[in-house]
Amino acid sequence: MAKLTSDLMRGHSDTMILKLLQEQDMYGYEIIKEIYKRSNEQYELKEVTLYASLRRLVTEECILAYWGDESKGGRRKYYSLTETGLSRYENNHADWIYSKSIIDKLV
Amino acid sequence: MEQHITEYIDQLFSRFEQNKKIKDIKEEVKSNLQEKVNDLTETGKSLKDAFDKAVSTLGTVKDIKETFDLKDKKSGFKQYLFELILLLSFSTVYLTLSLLFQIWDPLWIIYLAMMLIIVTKHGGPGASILFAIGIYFILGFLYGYWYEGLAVYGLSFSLIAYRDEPIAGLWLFLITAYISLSAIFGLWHPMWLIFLLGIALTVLIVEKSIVGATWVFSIGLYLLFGFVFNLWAIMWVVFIFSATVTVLVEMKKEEKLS
Repeated sequence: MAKLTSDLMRGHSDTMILKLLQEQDMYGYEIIKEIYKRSNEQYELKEVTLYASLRRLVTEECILAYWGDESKGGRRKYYSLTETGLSRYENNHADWIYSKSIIDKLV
Repeated sequence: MEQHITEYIDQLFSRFEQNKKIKDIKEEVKSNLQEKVNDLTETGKSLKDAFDKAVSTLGTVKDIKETFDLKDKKSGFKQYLFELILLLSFSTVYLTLSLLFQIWDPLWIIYLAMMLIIVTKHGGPGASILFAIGIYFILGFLYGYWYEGLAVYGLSFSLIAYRDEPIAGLWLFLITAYISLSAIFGLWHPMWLIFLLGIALTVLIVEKSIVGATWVFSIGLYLLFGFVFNLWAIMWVVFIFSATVTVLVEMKKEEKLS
């Protein structure tokens, strides 16, 4: 099966990130790796999509950014979930369950 | 490889205006990219293949501009417009005050302050502090201003803070100006009124509210002229000014909405 790159997936990248950050704070590339792993290596979030999502979520105060320790190659920027982010996730998730049930009937 | 990645990122972001924001973005992108290249080489790819694959999903310069909401670098003339305006305004102040009060020397010192602003803008914190130390010694040896000259450091720190946190920079500057001017000229009162100006500017910067800033500013003017010249009876006129500004701004808003 070809790796997924569709708009449908991209449209949910905010929600995917919000879900991951419920477990622990993560830095950008770590989020990409986790999504790749959990999709059984079927979906790879592109950097450009990741950064766009992260910036949007920070502006909307769903997540907070902070600098972590120095690693090989520079400092890492970590992201953590806020209360607003958690309720955003719950809304998006409920929306998705609802949409899925309708799409299943239509497609 | 690290050098190679740094150069690539620098190149990718080179057409945008360089500031603290872009420095942070570059650092984040770089550390992520570095780790991705490391991971890819561990799976057996050559360094070159790993690098090519890693940068392939970064997007185009156009994507980057949109994603991070970056501004293009200013072109030639615009880039120096700020310096030109600075030079003209400092020269106006210098010539006017010097002609009026015959203080050509040591008023030329304000040009050192102007250069400090330019050095801080282009050279960053290190250059700013070095330059401030230079000015301090000039003031000390030439005029014996060892004590008053300390204000240069306050100015330098305000400018550095201003780059990242305009509000913090503004207040550092006001405190420096308050302490040094008051100490030199014995103006502790009513010099404290500059803090009212500070509050007005803070309201303007934080709330982006012209109306709010105007009211704070008017109250400041009212208090200033009241305390200093005992003009309480006349100065209430400034509130008519604020009210006019408020009405005008509100009318503009209405216009935009309809």
